[in-house]
Amino acid sequence: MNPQRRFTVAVVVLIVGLVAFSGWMASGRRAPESPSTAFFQAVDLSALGSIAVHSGGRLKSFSSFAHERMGWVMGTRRFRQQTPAFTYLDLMFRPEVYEGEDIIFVKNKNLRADIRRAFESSDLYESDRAGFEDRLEGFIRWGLISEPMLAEPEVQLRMNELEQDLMRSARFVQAVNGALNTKHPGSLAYELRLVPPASGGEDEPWSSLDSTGRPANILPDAEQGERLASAWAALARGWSAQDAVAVNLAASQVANILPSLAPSLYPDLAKLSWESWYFQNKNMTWIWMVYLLSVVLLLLFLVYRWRSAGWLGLSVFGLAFLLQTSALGLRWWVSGRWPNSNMFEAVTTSAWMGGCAAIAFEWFARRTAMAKVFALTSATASMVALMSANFLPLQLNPNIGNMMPVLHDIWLYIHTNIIIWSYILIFMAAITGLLYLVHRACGAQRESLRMAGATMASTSSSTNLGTVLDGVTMALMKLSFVMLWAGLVMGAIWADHSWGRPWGWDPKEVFALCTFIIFALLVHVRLKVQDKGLWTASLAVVGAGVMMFNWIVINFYISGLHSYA
Amino acid sequence: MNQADKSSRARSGFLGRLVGLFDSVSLGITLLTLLFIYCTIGSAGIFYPEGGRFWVADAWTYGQLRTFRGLEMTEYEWFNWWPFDLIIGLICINLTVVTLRRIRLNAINLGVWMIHSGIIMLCIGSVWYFGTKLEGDTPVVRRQVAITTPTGESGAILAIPGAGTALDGWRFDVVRVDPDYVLLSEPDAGSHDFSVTVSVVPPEGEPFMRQLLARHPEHAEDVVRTNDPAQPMARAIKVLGKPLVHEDLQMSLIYDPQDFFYLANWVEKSWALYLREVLPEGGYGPWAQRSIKNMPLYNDYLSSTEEAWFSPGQTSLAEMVDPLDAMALAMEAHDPLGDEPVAITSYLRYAAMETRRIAGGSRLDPAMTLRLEDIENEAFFDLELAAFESEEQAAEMGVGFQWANSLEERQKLSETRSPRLRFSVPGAVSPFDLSVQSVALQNPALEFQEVPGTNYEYRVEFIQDLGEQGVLASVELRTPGRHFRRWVFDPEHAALTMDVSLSVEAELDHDDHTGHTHTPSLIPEERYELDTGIAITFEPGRAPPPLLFLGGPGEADLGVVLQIGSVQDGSYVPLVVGEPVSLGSARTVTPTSFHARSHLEERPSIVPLQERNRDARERRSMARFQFASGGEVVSDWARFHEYVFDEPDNKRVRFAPALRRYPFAPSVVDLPDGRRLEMLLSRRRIRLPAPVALDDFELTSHVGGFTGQVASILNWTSQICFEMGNEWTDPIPVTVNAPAEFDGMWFFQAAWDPPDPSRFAGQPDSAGLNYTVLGVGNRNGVRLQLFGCTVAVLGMLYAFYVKPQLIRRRRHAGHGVASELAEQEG
Repeated sequence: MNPQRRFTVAVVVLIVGLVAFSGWMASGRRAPESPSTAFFQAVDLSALGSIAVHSGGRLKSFSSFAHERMGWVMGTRRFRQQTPAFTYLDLMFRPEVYEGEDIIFVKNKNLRADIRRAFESSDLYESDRAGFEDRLEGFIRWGLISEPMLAEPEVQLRMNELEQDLMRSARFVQAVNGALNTKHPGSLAYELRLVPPASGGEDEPWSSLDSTGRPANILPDAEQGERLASAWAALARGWSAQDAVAVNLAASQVANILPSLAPSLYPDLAKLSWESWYFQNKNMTWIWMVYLLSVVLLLLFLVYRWRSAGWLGLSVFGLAFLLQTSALGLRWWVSGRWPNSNMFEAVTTSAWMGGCAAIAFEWFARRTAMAKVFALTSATASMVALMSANFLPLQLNPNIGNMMPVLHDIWLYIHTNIIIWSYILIFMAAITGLLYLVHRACGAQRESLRMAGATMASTSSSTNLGTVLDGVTMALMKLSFVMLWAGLVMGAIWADHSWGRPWGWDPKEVFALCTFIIFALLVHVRLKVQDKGLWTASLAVVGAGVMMFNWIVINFYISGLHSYA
Repeated sequence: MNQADKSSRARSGFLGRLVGLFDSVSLGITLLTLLFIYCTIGSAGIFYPEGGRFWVADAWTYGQLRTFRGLEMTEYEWFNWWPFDLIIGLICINLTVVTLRRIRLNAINLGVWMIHSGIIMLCIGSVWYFGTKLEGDTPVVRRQVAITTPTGESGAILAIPGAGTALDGWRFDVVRVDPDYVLLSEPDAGSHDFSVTVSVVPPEGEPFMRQLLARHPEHAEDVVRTNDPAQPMARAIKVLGKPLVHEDLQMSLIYDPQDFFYLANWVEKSWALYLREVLPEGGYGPWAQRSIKNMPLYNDYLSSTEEAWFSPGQTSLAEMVDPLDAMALAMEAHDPLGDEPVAITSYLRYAAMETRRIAGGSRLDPAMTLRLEDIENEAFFDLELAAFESEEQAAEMGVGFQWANSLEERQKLSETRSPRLRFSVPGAVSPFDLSVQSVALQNPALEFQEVPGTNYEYRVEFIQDLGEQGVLASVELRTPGRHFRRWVFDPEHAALTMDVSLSVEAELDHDDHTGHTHTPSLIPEERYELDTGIAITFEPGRAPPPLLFLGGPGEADLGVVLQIGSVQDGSYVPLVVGEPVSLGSARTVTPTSFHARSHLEERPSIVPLQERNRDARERRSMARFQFASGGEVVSDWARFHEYVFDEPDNKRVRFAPALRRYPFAPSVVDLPDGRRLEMLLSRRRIRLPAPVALDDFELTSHVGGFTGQVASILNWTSQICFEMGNEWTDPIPVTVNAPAEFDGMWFFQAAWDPPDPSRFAGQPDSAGLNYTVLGVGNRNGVRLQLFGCTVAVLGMLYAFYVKPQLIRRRRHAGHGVASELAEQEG
């Protein structure tokens, strides 16, 4: 088999593997869910989902608020396929339904194992030990457990012990205790601050409704207050009686009354409605599937040089990019700030930036052999980013929050955006680097490359695959090299007037510098070695590894000043 | 001479070879690789096999190399260490030589020149910056309350809830601070101010409260008690017709200037020992700081295992024995020890002082430890008992430990006796003894009984243990013409015996175990003359706990009297340390140690790694300082303090803790020469270019106001002033991301004072915003660093995007010339 054929087979295997992996991710990682109830099917919470709730210094839609709070209780799991908004109200109005149900999410797997071990010495559930063992198996796998099981003395004893271990396990136990507190009906009602302040002041707190449906603050218009109380009481009654018609009517009344209490303070209803839609649609992270299709088509183009696959892949890439742009724009509009203040936003925004860069590169390289390869790298990077956001919501939390005070600075916007832009370019360069390594591993001979690979490849449309991949890697790497350095400098300017020092040897800073050193090495190694393509591809992959280490390991495991980034 | 000759001449000789060595791209690549490795190891740490057992998978562990014993470096120190400086220096030389010798300065190579010179500029700027770097922080309190008593004594207290002082017989306590007080009086109605309410207790007369306002001193007024239950407190102006109760008591809110800032220990180790003399006449001398060299930061160092307590879960103390060789050297002329150095022998990163009982000593103070074990459930509980201390926890568990000086006493201690009353009537033949079996409190139907040979009838109401006041029996007495109660105390407190009315305010809790009742207080409505017609004495009963350990009379004698388990007859069973005794139901008790002579000792207890707060940094650290004087040596531990609080001047007295959340408890050491010193471990402090004061502190929030969550905070602003001469500058705002510069030092918003609920009884709540913490630092060389970086960025853009265009144009031009020549030739 000649090298080209071997490479083709390898890429086809890669495509098949990619599709299979995506399918497994999409279908095989979901906890089994009981069928939903008729009441849930009949209740329409679309109006209520768009009312404003004050939480964490923000006014957010009830849907997104419920998504956040139910996330604290159940993680990413859902109870009987219910929406978080439904479960929130159901827990509040009918807590008895959830007694004994496995709805408390234990994130940490070691803690799950500890809880399971605590049951080993227990003689509980002896009557149905096998069934109980199955339940524990499910707990170990999906992390869901019931409140009574957590209340067992053996479990409590073990959890108390683990809570003493501040360095390792306390925060996980505290998260479980937080989940128990959050799901308490009184806590759910108290935190549901949906009544705007009577004073009409922006700095005044919003209040929740008491058990009679009356707001804690005194409304200027007593009649409106009574109407609200009456509607809320009707909602509670209807919910308890599982009367969907009454619930829908009362929910609609509540949703109508609340904005009229303080029209000047109440957020734009359209915005709330879109926010609700955005969260109900998984933050549009499903766009990864569109990118996957684009990746498959563009890989086919790269291997077989099928022009139709290329143009189709590019079109699908364009569609995916447009969808991602709309998701980004929607989040920007809803949150009132550029989405770049937590890991979810940094990852998805950087992927979008990679798309922008790829489109620009595609324009400049449209008449060269590198055409559509930039789109391939961006589509792959965006697919990975959105898959991460879709399948790892605990790590990449999509909830919208306020920015920390330290992040309110123009230099921060410039610094972080340039840094994450350079990161995605590094990732994209690593994709062509990896393809190059696969190409060489399949037996391709090294090319006679000059220093500026991209320049060479861009001047001719008849270069071979190795030259093309090297050219794309170099083009992406050069831009990321400049942007990473510029981003570091801008970060130093910001740090200088925020923390009092331009450089603090924080792990995040050091590893950004290490990434830069790798690319500085790459530039200089190309001057010295014969096999420039191999060294370039290898160092591009190593550089991406260091960058990913910085973004994942440093962020999640090694604390530093950049804990929010 | 051609280029090759020049080159070969340059390469001859040592200098030539040296230049030749640095004229190498390969060397640059090697140095960059070394830099990468150095940075990675220093920042992310390493995986290494413990004990060198690299072939054992479980032996591999993660650690930060820079924090290992022998290194003890912060990130800043690691990246300012000589190997790093050497690598950077060599890279600079390499860059310089390569650029000058290999890269001709022309339009094509301009980008590379710019990159290389930018990086060299950055390195020079960094040497300047890091070489002169000062970084730290300082707490600045918003106001202090200046007080001048009517007799002219003056003092000050910090305007922080809980602060207080006594001055000239007066007592002053800050009870409330409202950082956002809204004025109601015209013409300032509606404006906001910083309000402080001080409770004032004069030497004579009624206490009152004085409210002070920072910006409106003219509105200061007192609040006094009234006799109106509907309004127990009222403004003095309404009650007394004047705003101030004591017009000659002067109180005002003034700035609390801060003169120093404290170097950040976590940036670069800057330990300091602070000493001040406790003056024989009262008060303190000024603090004198001593810089400490060679003190670690991350690991524990002990000079002996006797210095600290071992706690389960921690590394063995023996592994920590590694005496320090560190010294605290005098820096200031007023140091109470002069130039005499102070040695530091031990250091603990995270520990807390703890008092434990240990064997030995000259005093009889019996102590024992025991283990209660449930064999079936594999559970156990360890208990420490001291015979001469009341052990509440042990008593709750039904365990007691007592010491008997003789066999008779031991016998007596092990007996169960009912309480006894003895009635004697003057003139009667013999006293009447009664063993109390039943009391009216438990048995309301209990009948009165006749005291034989008298017209007195009695019944026992209850028996009550009053703790230090002894045990009393309340006996209801009845004669044909009288009905009253007699409280009869035990023989030790017999003088307290009294006759009282039947009405008593008390709530009684019955204790099933002893038959006694416990109540916090008994207040008779009326007390009578003691009826001399009848005398009653009371002998309290005794019921040993279910598990009574008895030591003595010999110092090796230990036994137990069991009311549970296999032996329940109250007999004394001798015990051997380490041998268990069955309590039935697979439960045992084992004496694990017993010492007739013991004593209490305070030592640091090292907190196991897994129980440490991750964010505590060095806040829980302590060091042991050794003072040598006149041939004698004394040593003691000093705990770390974030800040050192001075007395503003000799006449002003402050009340510790100076700031909430920053405990202030210096250690006291008695020197052999009779002097007494206070000491604490802290960070080096440096005088600010001018005293700084906090005029105002603002918290701005997102929509909905501050909810207690950090997410609701938009920003913090400290309005700070500097003292210039005798004047204060106008307030300068310092917010997050917007520092202020004064005389070469930059001031940053670093931390704030959030609302702080009361932590112990008597401490008032705090609404917060009483002080700010400012970051302070210099930034020499930053402009050169940034200029170098910018030049490098521009160079990169030029090299990557302009240079290829230039080359292409030249190539095209070259093709054009070649074509023309070809046409001409053709």
